[in-house]
Amino acid sequence: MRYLREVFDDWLTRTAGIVFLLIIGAVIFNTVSDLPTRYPLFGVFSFSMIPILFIAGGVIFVLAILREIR
Amino acid sequence: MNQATAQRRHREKLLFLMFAGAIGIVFLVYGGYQLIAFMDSTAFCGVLCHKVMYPEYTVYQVSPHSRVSCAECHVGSGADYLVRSKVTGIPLVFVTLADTYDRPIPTPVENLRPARETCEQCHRPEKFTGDIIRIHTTYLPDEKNTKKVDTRALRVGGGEFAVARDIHWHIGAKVWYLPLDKSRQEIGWVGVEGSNGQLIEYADPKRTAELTSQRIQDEKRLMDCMDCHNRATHIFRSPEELIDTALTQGKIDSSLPFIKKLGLDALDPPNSSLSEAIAKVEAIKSYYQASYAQLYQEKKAAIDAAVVELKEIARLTTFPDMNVSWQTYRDNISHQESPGCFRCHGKLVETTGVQTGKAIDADCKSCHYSLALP
Repeated sequence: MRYLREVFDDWLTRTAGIVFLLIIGAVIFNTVSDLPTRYPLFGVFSFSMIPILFIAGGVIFVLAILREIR
Repeated sequence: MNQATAQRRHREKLLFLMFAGAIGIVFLVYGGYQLIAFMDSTAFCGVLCHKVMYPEYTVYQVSPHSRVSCAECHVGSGADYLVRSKVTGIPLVFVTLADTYDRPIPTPVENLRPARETCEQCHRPEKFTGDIIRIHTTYLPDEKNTKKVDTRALRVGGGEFAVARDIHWHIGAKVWYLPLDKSRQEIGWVGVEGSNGQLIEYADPKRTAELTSQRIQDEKRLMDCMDCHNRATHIFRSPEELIDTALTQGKIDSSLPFIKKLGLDALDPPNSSLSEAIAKVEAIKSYYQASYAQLYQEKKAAIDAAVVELKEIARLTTFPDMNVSWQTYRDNISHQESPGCFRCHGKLVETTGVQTGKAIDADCKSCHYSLALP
């Protein structure tokens, strides 16, 4: 816990962690659930999370890494 | 916090960010692949994105190609086809949102992928089939639903370029043609390429003014499966055809008096709504109750089953919102409901060969002959 508290002690890394969990969650959900194919409108929502998370994750991770490197 | 602790924290954060980033990229690549697969799925195409094309989707589900996904024929494999289909689809999204699309939606024959990249991935055109026998059972709309059987041998033929013959010769050989309209129902010119590369040409004598050599050069097409089998999947069958099939299959009991006539009266001509068609079909029960009371008691289950089947036929033939009926999209296979074979046969005449001035053979026996049942 102490390690996690130390790593996630700023908002940018915390956001990166949330985006990471959302990516894993969205991909696993789309893989195991048949809801997106049974209800295509819901499928559009759940699959559209992938490009959204790609863009959001790209920006947040790059910003966070650049800040840590500096 | 001393400098060593701060450095350790930076190192740990950097490690987490790089590790999580790398894992995230792997998952996103896999998620992207899933996204493309979802966009190519039949549910996405037929239910969500192409809701306006519900007539096509409805008949696709009972077609011979119902297990071939939409994307396999309409999009194709490879990134270029994917990008092309999505880009060309963007204006259609706006047309759909603005509710300004055509009703019925015209068949986009000019945008379809070549049959060589679709049909021929499963069907080998050079396959020699020979003659095949088709037993076509129909019923008269009389009290007894009198059965009529037509047994016919079709000269399907086929074979490689040098030996191809009969109907599938058109695919084995190299046959070029020039369509004069968008739906390819008017053929103005045909050129048959021989093994020596020499072209024997045929032209519509009534439209020679439109047949410039430049136009032929620019717009000619190599004949493929889709020029005859243009409704291989989205087949809009008439109520008559579907009722005949249901009677043959036993889904509708042919011993029910006037059942074919009653079905046709309910569904042909097309109704103004599906609910109206279903109400008319439901009224068939009342007809039997009133006119054949005893039979209604004896065969209630068969009458109920016939009504259920006729409702299904109503679903497959009633598309008033899109102005689509079984007469909207012509099937070029055969020549009963559309010009089909006679777009060229019996119409175009030879212009360059030893038989100049002679029309392309239109003898029925070139393609089929009747057989007597044993």
